[in-house]
Amino acid sequence: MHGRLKVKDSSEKAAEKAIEREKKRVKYVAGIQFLFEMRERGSYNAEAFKSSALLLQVNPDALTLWCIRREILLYLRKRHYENKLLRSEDDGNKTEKTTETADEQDGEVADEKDASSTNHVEHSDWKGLPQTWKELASSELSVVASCLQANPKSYGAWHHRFWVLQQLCNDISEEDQQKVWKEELELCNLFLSKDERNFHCWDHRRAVTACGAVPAERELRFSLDLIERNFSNYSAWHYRSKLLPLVHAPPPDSCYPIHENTFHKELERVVNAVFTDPGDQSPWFFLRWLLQKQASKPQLVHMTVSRKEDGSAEVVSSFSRVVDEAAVSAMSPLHLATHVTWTSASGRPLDSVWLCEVAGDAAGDVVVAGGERVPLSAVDVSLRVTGAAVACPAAARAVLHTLLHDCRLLHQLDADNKWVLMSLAEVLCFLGSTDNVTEACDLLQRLSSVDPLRAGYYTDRRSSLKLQEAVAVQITDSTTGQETKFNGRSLGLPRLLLPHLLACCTHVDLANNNITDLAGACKLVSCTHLVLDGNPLTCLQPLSRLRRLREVSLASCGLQSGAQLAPLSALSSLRSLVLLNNEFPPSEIPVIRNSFQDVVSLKV
Amino acid sequence: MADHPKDVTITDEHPKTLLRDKHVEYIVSYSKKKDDFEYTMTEHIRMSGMYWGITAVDLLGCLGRMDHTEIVSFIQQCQDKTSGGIAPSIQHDPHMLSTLSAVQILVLLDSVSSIDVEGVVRYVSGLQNSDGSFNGDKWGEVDTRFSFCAVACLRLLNRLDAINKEKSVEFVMKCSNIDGGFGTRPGSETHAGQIYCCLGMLSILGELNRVDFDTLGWWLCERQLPSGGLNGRPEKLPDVCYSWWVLSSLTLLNRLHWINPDKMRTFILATQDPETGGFTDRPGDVPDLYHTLFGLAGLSLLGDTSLKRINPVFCMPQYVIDKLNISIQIVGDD
Repeated sequence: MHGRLKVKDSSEKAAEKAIEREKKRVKYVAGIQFLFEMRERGSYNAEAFKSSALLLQVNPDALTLWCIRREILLYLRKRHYENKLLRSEDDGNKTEKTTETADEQDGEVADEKDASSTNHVEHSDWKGLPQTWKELASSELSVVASCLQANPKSYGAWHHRFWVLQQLCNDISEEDQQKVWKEELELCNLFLSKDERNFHCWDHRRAVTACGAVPAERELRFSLDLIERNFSNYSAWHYRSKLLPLVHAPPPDSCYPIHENTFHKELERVVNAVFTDPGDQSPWFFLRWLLQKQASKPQLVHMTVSRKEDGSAEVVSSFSRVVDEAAVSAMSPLHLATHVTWTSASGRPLDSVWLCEVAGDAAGDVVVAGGERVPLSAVDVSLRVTGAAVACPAAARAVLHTLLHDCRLLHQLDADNKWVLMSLAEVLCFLGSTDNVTEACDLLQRLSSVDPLRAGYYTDRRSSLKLQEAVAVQITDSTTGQETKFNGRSLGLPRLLLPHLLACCTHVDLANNNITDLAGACKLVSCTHLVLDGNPLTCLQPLSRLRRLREVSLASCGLQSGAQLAPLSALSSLRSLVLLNNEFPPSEIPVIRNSFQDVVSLKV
Repeated sequence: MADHPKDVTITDEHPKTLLRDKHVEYIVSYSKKKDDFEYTMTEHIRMSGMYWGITAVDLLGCLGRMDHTEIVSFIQQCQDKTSGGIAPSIQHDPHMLSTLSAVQILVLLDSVSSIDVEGVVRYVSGLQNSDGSFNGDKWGEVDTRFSFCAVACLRLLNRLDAINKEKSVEFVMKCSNIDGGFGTRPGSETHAGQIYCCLGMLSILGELNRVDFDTLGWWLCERQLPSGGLNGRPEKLPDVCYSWWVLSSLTLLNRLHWINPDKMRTFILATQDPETGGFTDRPGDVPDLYHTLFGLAGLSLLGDTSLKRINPVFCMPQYVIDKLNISIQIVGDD
């Protein structure tokens, strides 16, 4: 019951309405029963065909009614071809051709329920219907059109319409088909002019343009027409985002989602749109897409090779986005003479953190910064390579700077416009540099108060930026020591954000943040020492996967029961556990001590 | 704050607390008014209607109020002996949507063995196309909704082996868009209902990592309007059913905290009909079973402990899914 307002009527009017509805109901039930009975007997006729149309006019979502119509239509088409066959018996050439067609039709019809069981129906039963299949199909399109007028969002009606079109086009010349699809495009235009967001009609349009081989360029123009009529037409922007890469494909490895020349034109257009009405969200989504291509490509974050006591080496690789095993092998700076199997941190086929074991005598090398190759045998303790920063071409930077300038102008005009604030923050992030990121963080903070509904999003985004900065400063290329320490204390993290950035860290200190949820902890594959003091943790389950943990500190985490610690009992290497200043009931302390007997240093 | 011309206003007159008893009465009495206009006009979605009602009643802890024998017998009569599919009502034709609804009801009532399970498996798997997509029925309508129905149905029956899973995933990923969301078919615009279907299906198959969590999560949290309600696409009115499609999607992405839960709850509660019980799409409209389930399910996802916990993929009480030992993927949980 979408969008039907509850109206309070006077008792008189209500009674009147109830009588009306009851009449309508009885008529509908009788109609349906009549149809189902005819179907049961396998004896459809013109009356059944007409009454199903009336019922569908009232209730176009009753899919079985459309099924019944299709059964009748298929039967009538078959009849049409049989009659043609009869009529053309005295014409030798034609007979051969039509026989083929009829056979083909038979094959199809046989699959459809009951379609052939209506064969015994008398010809006179079909009086009043169009005489030829083509006329019948056309009149069927009118029936559907009138159902759609009444209910333009009926899945069943749109699907039936396309089915009829396909049936019709099976039987007519190429030239006539083109005519049909051209007319159908007109119908799409009509329905979109009534409701520019009707996604059923948009889907239909896509199917129609594919069948009618409408050039993508023409549809691109159509999307522009709609956008120019109304910048808020998200559907039209969406259509554009699908068509542009087809018509103006970028060369491989381009940093733009579409060809560079077009990119600049589109950018100008969308910036113009946001200037016209900065509160309109549709163009902002499009703008974000135009700028996003570069960031969406997966890149190496870190790769660490660590020599183990037995001489073998363990390799941990992390990437900016999830990748599959083939991509890991291709993107990893590790080059081995023999094949090596990578496993993902989550055990899933796509992940951002991957590990592999390399035998002590394996031949190979690691490409480090500057392209130099370090033989694997030269890695005595550990070696880490960090992924190179994204090389944003000068032209793209210029674009970003112009956009930054534009956004600042808009910001001056409308300081509290959330879309402007957000785009400003995004552009600053793309440009990088500590100053820009600091400004972006301030803007995100501002956004939390301007748009409080999404404060959680802005907080995560801001904290992620801070974490990224801290990682960039603290985790650099290195060839010394087995340990990689990360200090992420007091960054205001609300959760374990971007845990893949810490995949190579042996020591992770996230004390005094605001972390409640440890989801994603399985990415901390190298972690042996973990400090989470002063975080209001609710669930420790994700820690159970970190089998290397030797020292864990959970002081002042608001833990209230020994049962919460159960996931830690799976950690066989644990030798130090700090549980000070939690809220365990005194009676539970001995139980906790007892369950962690193997832990050398237990502070509770 | 940007202008929101497409939103509603919630006033003090709208309900502020959960009207549990009213809803139970609304649902239980619904099936008893068989001569009612609404009841007649919704015959073509009867099976789904029953699923909405039964699930809602169970969330409210009153499953015992429904007539289990009558329900199971109805479902048996709706199964098509030839194709194995299940129709939305007696004499209607089988369809993917009603087949999933029927299986959900039977699982809830622990009565799966009362139908021809192999028939259902044959029907559902037979609707998969070579590109991995699924038809809604034998007439060939393709939609990512049906991909979800097929995978959810077969998972509940523990028969995912019957379809090509890789191809199913491949097709759904072809329906993704620049905003991170999903549409009905390749090229279709993103829609919150479709996102739920695609994420749910990927979650069951353990393939959620293919999704761009942040881009999609952001689009989803932008669905919340100042009233607290959620719409299903940009520039559209809020509707309580999106409190399910969007909230469950955000739950699967582990980003439920990206919307404001208090305002969301206020909106959902305001869509209750204080006279008849039941939830509506927007405050002041006419209630129905569909919005009643999704209103309650949304409240459950938001942590309302007076309701049974709901599973974000199957939209069934969590205890039922636990009994079957079915696990789903939630981002960050692995």
